[in-house]
Amino acid sequence: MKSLIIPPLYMGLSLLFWGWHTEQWLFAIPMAIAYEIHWLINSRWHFSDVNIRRAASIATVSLIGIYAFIAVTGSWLNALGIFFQWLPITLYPIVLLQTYGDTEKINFRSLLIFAKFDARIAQKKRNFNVKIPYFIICILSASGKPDSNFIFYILLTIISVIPLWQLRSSRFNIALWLCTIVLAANLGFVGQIGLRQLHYYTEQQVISWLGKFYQGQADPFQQSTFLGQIGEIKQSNAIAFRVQTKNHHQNQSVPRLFREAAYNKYQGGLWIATDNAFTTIKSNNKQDLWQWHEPTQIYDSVTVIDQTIKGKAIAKLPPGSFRIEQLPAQTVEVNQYGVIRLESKQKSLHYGVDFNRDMNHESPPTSADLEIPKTESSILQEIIQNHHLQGENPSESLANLETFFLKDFKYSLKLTEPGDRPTPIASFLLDQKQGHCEYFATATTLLLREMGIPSRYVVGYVVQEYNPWQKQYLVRDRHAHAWTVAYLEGQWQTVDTTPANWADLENEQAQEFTILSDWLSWAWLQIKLIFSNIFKNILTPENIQRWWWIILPILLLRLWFGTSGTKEKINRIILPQHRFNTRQKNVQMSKFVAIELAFNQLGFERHSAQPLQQWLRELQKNEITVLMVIELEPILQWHYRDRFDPQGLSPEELIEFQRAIEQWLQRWHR
Amino acid sequence: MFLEKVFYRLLRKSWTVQWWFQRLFPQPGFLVCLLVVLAAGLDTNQTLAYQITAWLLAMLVVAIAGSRWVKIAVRVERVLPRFGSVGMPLKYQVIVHNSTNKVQKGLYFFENLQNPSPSFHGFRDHLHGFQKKAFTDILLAVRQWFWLIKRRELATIAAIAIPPIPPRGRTEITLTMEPTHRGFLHLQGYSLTCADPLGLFNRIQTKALPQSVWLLPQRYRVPPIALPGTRRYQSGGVAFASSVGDSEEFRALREYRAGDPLRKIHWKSWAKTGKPIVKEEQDEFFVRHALILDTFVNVPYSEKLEEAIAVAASFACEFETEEALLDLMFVGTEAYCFTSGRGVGNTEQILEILASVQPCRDKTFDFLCPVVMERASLLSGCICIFLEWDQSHKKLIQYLQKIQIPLMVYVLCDRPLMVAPEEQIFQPLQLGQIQQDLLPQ
Repeated sequence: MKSLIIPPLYMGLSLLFWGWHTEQWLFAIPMAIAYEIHWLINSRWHFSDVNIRRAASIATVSLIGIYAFIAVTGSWLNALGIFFQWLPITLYPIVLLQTYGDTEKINFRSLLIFAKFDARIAQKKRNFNVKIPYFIICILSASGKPDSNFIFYILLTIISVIPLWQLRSSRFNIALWLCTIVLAANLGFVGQIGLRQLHYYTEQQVISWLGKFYQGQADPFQQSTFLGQIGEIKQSNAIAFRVQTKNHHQNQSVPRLFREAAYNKYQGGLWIATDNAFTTIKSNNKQDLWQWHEPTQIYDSVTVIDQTIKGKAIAKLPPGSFRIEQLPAQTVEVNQYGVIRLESKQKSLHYGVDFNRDMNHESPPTSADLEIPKTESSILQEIIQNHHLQGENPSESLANLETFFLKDFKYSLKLTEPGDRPTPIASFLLDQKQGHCEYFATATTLLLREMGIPSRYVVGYVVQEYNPWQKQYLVRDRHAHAWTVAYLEGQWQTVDTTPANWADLENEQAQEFTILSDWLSWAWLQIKLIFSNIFKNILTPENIQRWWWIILPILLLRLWFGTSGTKEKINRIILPQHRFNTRQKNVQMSKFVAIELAFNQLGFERHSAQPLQQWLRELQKNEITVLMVIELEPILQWHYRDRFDPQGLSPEELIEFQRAIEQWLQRWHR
Repeated sequence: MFLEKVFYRLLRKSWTVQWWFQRLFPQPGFLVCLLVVLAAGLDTNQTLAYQITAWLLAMLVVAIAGSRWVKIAVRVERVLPRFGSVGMPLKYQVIVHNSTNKVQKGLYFFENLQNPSPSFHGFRDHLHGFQKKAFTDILLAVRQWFWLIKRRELATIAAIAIPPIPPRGRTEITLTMEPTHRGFLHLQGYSLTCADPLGLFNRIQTKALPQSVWLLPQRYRVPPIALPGTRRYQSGGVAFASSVGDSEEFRALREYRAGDPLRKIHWKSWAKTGKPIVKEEQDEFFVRHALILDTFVNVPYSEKLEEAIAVAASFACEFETEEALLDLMFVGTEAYCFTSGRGVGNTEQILEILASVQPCRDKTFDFLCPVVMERASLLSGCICIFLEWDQSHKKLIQYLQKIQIPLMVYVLCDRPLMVAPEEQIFQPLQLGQIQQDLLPQ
C-alpha cells in the first residue's frame, strides 16, 4: 500500500480551495500561511500527548458547540451544512500541533477524548498522520456550499491530480496514466450530472409513492380521489392529529367531523375549488390569536394537537369555527370555503379552536355549486326519476336521498372495475352499490345538485376514537373522510350519506400492535412538549446567544485543565536541516551509475541494499545479459577502487576507467 | 436453527469478503473516502459532495476497467522449512521467475491460507461454552467468531511487494510468517496482484501451491530436570537401545532351561546341535521418565491446555534423550504413550505430536490413571502437567509418591491457588506469568 505525502504548498492550496468555495477567506488565508510557513523554519516543538488531547478536546467541544448553537437558534438541517463548512477550522489546531511537533505522527487514541488513554503506550505508538484526513476534510467541507456551476468539479479534478500521481502504478508509463485520468474526469463529469438528475427523479418518485400511503394535508385547491381505481385502499394507522376537550373527558361537545377543505367543481375523479381566494386574517399583537368571524355568545372549545409539514399546515376545524387561540404563526389565511391555511416555524402545533356548531361561515352558494359534468348528468337524472328522489321541497329531497343510500348501498374499501358504465359514479350508483366515502360524498353532492340544491364536497376527519388513558381523541390517517355540505334554508348543512358502520369496517382493518405504537407516539409527544416548554421559556435563542459565549469558554477551560496525563514542558528543538532537505545532495555520483542506468532501462533493476558484485553475478545467470556482464569485470574493480580505496585511482587510471565505461556503453547501450 | 445457519453463513462469508477486499483494493482509504462522500452527497440540494462522489466513482470504474488489461506472467517457487515455533517469526524465501521479455513491475505477493472458518457445529459447540445473555448474543457470537478465526488461522503472513523482475530473470523475496498458535499450517497457494494505471484496483492471479509447515508449541525456559530416580530394570529391554547405558546386547548361548521364553530360542544353534539352545542377554537398566499431560477440558479451545502443552514441549526439549527414555502420556481419542530417546524417536517427533494434541472432552482424568499406574514400575521419574487439582489428580500423585517415584508436578491455574500446606506438592503456574513461575528470578 502506498502512502500519500502532502507536498509543500498543497495543504495551503486545499485550504484556499475550501476558503474560496465556502467564502471563508478570512480564516482560510491565515490558516494556509500558518501551515505552509513550517517548511521555511527550522524550529520544532515537543508536544506531549496531553497537548494533543487538549487540542482534540477543544476541537470536539467546538464542533458540538457550534452545531448545538446553530441547531438551537436556527434549523438543524441548516446547522448540518454550516457544521460541515466549519470542520477545517475546528480541526486545525490538531494539524498544527502535528506539523510543528517533533514527531511525524500522533497517536490515534489521543484524538478520541472519551476513550481510555494510556500516555505511556501512546508515546510509543505515534502512528497516525492527521494531515491526509485533514486534506480530505478540507475538500469535503469545500463542497458544503451548493453551487450551480461546474468550476468546483474542474478544480476538484485538478487538485486531486497530485495524490493520484503518488498512488499510480509504476508498471505503466505517464502517458497512459494521463489518458486514464482524463477519461475518468470526463466520465465523472457526466456522472455528476447524472447523479443530480437521479436524485431529482428519485425524490419525485418517492414523494408520489409516499403520497399514496400518507394522505398528509389536504390541498385547498384540488383533491384527487380513488374513484374508478381498482384494488384495495390501505390507510395508515398513524396518528394524524389529536383532539382534547377542556376537561379532558369524553363528551358530546366534540363534533364528529373535523373539516380540512371543501371543493365545488367535479371533473373526472378530481374535486377542484374554483376561484379560490385566500385572505389574510389579522391577529392580536402576540401573533397567537386569530379570528376570522365575529364570536357568538355561546360557543364550545376544543384543543387540536397537530404538526406542520415544511412550516405549513391546513387547520383541522369543527364546523362553525370562528377563532384559533395559542397558535404562534407567521400568517393565517382563510378562503371562501372556510379553509384555514397557516404558516408557522414551529413543527408541533397545539392550538385551541372556538366554534359554534349552529353557525356556518362559508360564502353563499354560487352557480358553480350547481354544476354537473355532462357525462354524469343523464345517469343522475335516471336515478332521480327511477327512485323518485325529487321531493316537494329541498328538505324532502334530502331525506329521500338519505333513505336511498341507507336502503341499497353498503360500505366497502375494495375498488372494483366500473364495468360498461361510462363513469365510476354511474357504475357505483347503478351496478356496484358499494364503495367508500369518496363515492358516497361525490354521488350525494352531484345528486343534490341535479335536484337543484347547491352542494359542496368536503374532506376532513372523523373524530371518534377516545383514548381514556391519554385523555384525548386520537385521529388516525385511516379516519380521513369525505362528506357533503348542502345549502338548505339559507344555511350550509352537513350531509353524510356514508353508511354509519364504515368506521367499524375501518377498525377491523386496523393493524396489530396499535396500543404499543399509540403509546410510543404519545410518549414521544410528551417528551417533545416538555422540551418545547424548556426551549420556549428557558433556552430561548436570545438566552442562548447571551449565555453561550460564557458557557463555552468555561467548558473549554475545564477540558484544558482536566486533561489527564503527565504534563510536560513544550521544548523547542532546532532541526539540523529542513525536513525535506535531508537527502545528502553532495555525495559524488559514481561513474558506474551510467552502466546501472543502462541496465535499468532494459528492465534490470538493483535493490537498494544489493551489492553491485552480487547483482552482476545474478545478471550473469540471465541469458540476455550474460555477455554484457563479462566485460564489466575490470570496470567493476576500478569502480570499487574509485569508491572505497583511500588512495583512489591515479589520474591515468581514472581516464582509462572513464574510457572503459564509454566503450562498454557504446557497445551495449545505443 | 434456520436463523443460526443464516447467521453462520453470513459470518463465513465475511472471511471471503475480507479476502477479496484485501487483494482487490490496494488503497482501502479510497473506499472509505468514497463511502463518506456518498453519505454526505445524498442530498444534492444541500452540498456538492455528489460531484466528489461522481469523480471518485468514475475513477473506480476506470480503474476496474483498466485492471482488465494487466497481464501477470510469472512463476513462483516457495522454499518453506518443515517447522516453525509459536512466538518466533519464521522467515522463508519465495522465488519469482519472470517468463516474459518484459520487466514485471508493481507486483504484490499474498499467501493464501486455508479458510479458517469453523464448521457450523464447531462454532455452535464453541458458543455453548459461554453464558448466553439475550441481548448480547449476536455481539458475543460475532466477537467469538473473529476470535476463532484468529485462533484457527495459526499464523499471519503479511503481503509483500515484489521488486521489479528483469526479463527472463528471477527475484527472491523473504516472507515473514508470524505463528500465533501450534498446529499444522496448510498453505494452499498464493495470489499475485497488480494495480491498474491509477493504482486503485488490482488484477489478481491466484494459483495453487500447496505446502505445509508444522507450527510447534511455544517453549519456555524450564528448570533442570532434577529427578533423583534410579535406573530401573526394563523387562525384555528395548532392542534398539544402542548408544548409551546397558544395552540388551547378546551375551552368550546356553542350554534351554524350563521357563525360558520361546522367543529366546536360537533356532540355528538348535538345528546344529540337535537340542534347544537359548540366547542369553544382558538385562536392561536405564532411566525412563514419564511426561504426563492432562488434556481433560470441556471446551474445544482452552488457553490453559495450550499453556500446558507449551510447558510439556519445553520439558520435552530440555530432556536429554541420549541419556534416557521419555514417555509422553496423554489422552486424546484414546490413551496414548509415545516413547522417545536412546535412538527411538527424537524431540522433533515429540514436539510434532504435542503440536497436534487435541483436548479430550468425553473422558475424565480417571481414564489416564490406569495407563500411568501400569507403567509406574518402569519409571524412574515423572513430570506431571495438570490443568486442575482435584481428588483424582491427588489420588494419582499419592500413588506415585507411595511407590517412591520422584515427581515434578505443575498445575496450570487462572488465579493464585489456595492449597493447604500439607498438599503443596505441586508448583502452580499462573496464566500470564508462566515463565516467572517456572524459573523465578
